[in-house]
Amino acid sequence: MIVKRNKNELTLIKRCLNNERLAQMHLFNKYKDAMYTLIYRITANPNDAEDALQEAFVNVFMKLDTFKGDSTLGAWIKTICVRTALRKNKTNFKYEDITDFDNESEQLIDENMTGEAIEKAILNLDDGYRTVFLLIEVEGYKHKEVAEMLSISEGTSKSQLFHAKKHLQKQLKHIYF
Amino acid sequence: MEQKQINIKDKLPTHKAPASMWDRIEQQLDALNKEVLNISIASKLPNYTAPSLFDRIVPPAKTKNISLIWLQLAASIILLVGLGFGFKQFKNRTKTQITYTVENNTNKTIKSEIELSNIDADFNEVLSYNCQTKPKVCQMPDYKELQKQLEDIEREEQNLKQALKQYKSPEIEMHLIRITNDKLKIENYILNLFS
Repeated sequence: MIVKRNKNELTLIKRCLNNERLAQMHLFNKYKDAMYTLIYRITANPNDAEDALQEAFVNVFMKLDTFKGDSTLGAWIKTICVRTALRKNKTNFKYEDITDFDNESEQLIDENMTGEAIEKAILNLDDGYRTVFLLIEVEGYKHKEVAEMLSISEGTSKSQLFHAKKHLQKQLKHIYF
Repeated sequence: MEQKQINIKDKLPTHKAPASMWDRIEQQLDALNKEVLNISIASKLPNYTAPSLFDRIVPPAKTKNISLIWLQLAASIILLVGLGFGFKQFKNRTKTQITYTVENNTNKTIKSEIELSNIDADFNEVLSYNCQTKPKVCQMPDYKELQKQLEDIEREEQNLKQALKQYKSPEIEMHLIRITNDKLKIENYILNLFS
């Protein structure tokens, strides 16, 4: 896959590879809030999120020479952040059979719900449910990618998502209805 | 009825990474780079096998005793000379007088020179002077980004100062120190752009 990259990003990568602190700081500033938000949602703990963000960006700068450019730089950094956050969680996944897929198409949220309430409900989910839900529904990863990232089967990923949605719906109904 | 699909990501709130985070990352990177440098230097240097000269390293017992006597003698001489010198200084001390005078400086131009060279000169004054002399630097994206960072960090510093007045907690104090360090670093980065 060829990813179009703008000149500024290429220059920034080159400067970071030359160990220029200022360029590294710019790169960090560009992605820090988005990555912190993502990591915080996965870990559901601000202290763990801070530690994971630090660890992830140190890894980004130490491994930047391995970035081959077959994805966007943002996507590459995001993968490192997700993997680092997952290591903090040490989630154990339990496979549960899915018997009912009807809920898949059901609308989870509506316009009246606030973002804070939805996030609170997501953070209340069990680690396994929350991680799969966030990666698929919020971050847009595919089941195959999530299965590979979490070292689980696609079936487990699907079942986790199914149960995550059920629990989320229950919580949101409790708040709003 | 067809429901309007809502993107959950757009609905969720975003969170700000802590301001002191860059400082932590930079410290870790410095430590790692130093480690890498040490490893690479160590691996490049040649290694030597120590010659078997054990007999020469450990001299016979007799020689050891003689050198010990000489050492003791030298130490005694040094001690005696030291005592003598100290006594002489003590005697001279009574004769020593310290005088001091006050001189008034009437040269007004020195004041402005001191203001320019003063290391505690206000950062903003230095910056505006630099921007006047090198306006191109102040148009650079690096400069603008750093200015934005500085404004954010100053805002956080003010908030922490307010919080410290209210709560006087050592954690807030530590955080304030970190923030101030970060601020100084950014100011340093900005000033380096002009050099």
